[in-house]
Amino acid sequence: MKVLIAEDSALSRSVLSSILEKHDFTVIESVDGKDAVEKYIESDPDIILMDLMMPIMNGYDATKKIKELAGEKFIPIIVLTSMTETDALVKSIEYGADDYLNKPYNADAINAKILALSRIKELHDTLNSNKQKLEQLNEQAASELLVAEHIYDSVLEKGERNLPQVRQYMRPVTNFNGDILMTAYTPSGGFNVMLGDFTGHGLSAAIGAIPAAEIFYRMTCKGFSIGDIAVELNDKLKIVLPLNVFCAASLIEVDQERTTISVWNGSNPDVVITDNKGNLINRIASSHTALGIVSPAKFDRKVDMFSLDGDEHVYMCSDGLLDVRNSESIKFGMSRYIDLFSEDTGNDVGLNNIVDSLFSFAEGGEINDDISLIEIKIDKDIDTWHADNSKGAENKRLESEWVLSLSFDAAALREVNPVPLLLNFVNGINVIHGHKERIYTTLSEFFTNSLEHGLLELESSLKIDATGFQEYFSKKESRLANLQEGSIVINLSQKMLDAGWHIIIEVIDSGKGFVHNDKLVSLDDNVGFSGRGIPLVKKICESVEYNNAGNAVKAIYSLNTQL
Amino acid sequence: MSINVVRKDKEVNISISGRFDFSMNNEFRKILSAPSEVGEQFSIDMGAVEDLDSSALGMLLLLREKAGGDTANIKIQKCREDIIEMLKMANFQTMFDIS
Repeated sequence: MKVLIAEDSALSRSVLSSILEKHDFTVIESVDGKDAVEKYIESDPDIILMDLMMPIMNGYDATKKIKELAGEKFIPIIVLTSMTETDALVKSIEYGADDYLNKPYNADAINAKILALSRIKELHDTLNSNKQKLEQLNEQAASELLVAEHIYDSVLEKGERNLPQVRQYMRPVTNFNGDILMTAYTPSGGFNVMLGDFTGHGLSAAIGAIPAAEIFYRMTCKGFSIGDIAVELNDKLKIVLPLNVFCAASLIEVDQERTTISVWNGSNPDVVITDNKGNLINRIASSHTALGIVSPAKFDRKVDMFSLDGDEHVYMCSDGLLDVRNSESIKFGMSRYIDLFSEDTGNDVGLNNIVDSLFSFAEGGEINDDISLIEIKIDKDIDTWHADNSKGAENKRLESEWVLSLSFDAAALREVNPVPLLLNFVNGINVIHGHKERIYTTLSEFFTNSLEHGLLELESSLKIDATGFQEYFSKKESRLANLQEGSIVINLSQKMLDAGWHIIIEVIDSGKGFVHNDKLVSLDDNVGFSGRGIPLVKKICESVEYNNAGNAVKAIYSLNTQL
Repeated sequence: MSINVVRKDKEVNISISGRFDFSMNNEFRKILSAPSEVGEQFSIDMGAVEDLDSSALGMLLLLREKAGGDTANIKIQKCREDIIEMLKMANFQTMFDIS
């Protein structure tokens, strides 16, 4: 260990030096304060013994100077005083000295003091190097979080993709939010919304968001239902995320006519549907495990479906909102949230008012989690037939007659949902977007009718109320799973008729025939809960005709239709 | 907040108090890294738990995996009403024996 002595008296220096050398310390001598500062810089001692009264620069100033130079590094300085100099002692401590030694010198006392201070120095050095390591790690973590944030934002295109009818309030706790909101139109002009809440903040959310966004957007634009999407998300997140990280999620799907809403809620707070005045119509509680927990075989894809008048609001939130606490540490909670939508309060509901209520509740309290609140406005008058025509920058269309045919047997119908396939089919026609949506809607409408009424022989009269609706869909699932015989053939062709290009859509099933022309009226009425129905198709197409048996339908769609 | 673990033969009784959140992670890790025995029975006394968050749910899932995943039978007992509600929102009643 190196000890620097600052002492102007040659005699005192040599006494100190000999004591220290006897204890195996390396001694560096300096003759005044200025010399001490220079020797300190030069030789980097472990400890300094400092006399106070010295020429050129005194011990106080030298102590101060050396402490300044050392910065965060701890260099113990022991001042050398005589018993009587208590004022000097106090002053030297104020200037930065750490301890003192009384003159005349006692060899054991000097040794003991140096050892004690060197122990403190060691502790200090360890702390300091740990602190530096921590700072480095912290910086590294912060920069990696920035990378994660960048990935997350670009994957989700941070709201840029969001539909105009969806408004959001999101408040991240960390520098970026563990909640994700995704919205997208379906090929037929309906839309899907997903609000996800990943365990933890930051990195785990970013890791999960990448596949989640990819799956949600890809499957939505291919026409898969939210049940299908939930299955896929769960499978993927189960693989990607560690066991203790998952994604609470609520997904909703609104059809193109804004007459039905499907909800899949896995561990998010209740999804709320209100009328246009903000009064509660329905609340859909979580009935599923969050995404990424259970194995594919155990995953429950069941959705709840409700009818809409086309003039409602839907609210979704993450549990951060319910976890907000007031100054008495009481949670906002589900019942206060639901009360916001009660008729009695006379509150104007709406995104801003809910946020205001939340913050007036939380005044003086704490907000720990990410908070997300989503409001979706259902408006059948302004919102249907969304068609992104800008993207329709057209490739050259095939100006000739052609025929395409697809046939599905029972096994194929059991195994796959061919509706998304139909979309590829339609995409292949290479017409602009607005036409595609209409052709796709017609096709999927015919197909759904052929499957549900033709092959599975389901009564659409079941669908008149919400319970019947649920029953209808559970029957559909079980009958489809047991379907052994039957087929559906789809013929799609392009023809020149009356000097204009037309697409002819034909769907034939092997069923007994679910509708005769005289019964078409009943099918016409069948819009309430199915939300689609033949009336819509009739509006779209030039003509719609069933055969006498009622198991084949043919529609003619003009490519000159005004969009 | 604290975690207490009492082992008696193959029964492992865990009692948790206070806020069950990420601050329990280290203590919980000790339980998870303890050597597993065949036929171990876990039960968690949550009588004194005031609140739980999603990292707590994550820890419960890890414990379930240790106890055999889908074959595990973990009892979560004495929960307050609001805690039960939270566990049900996460659909945990399908994976744990909650009372």
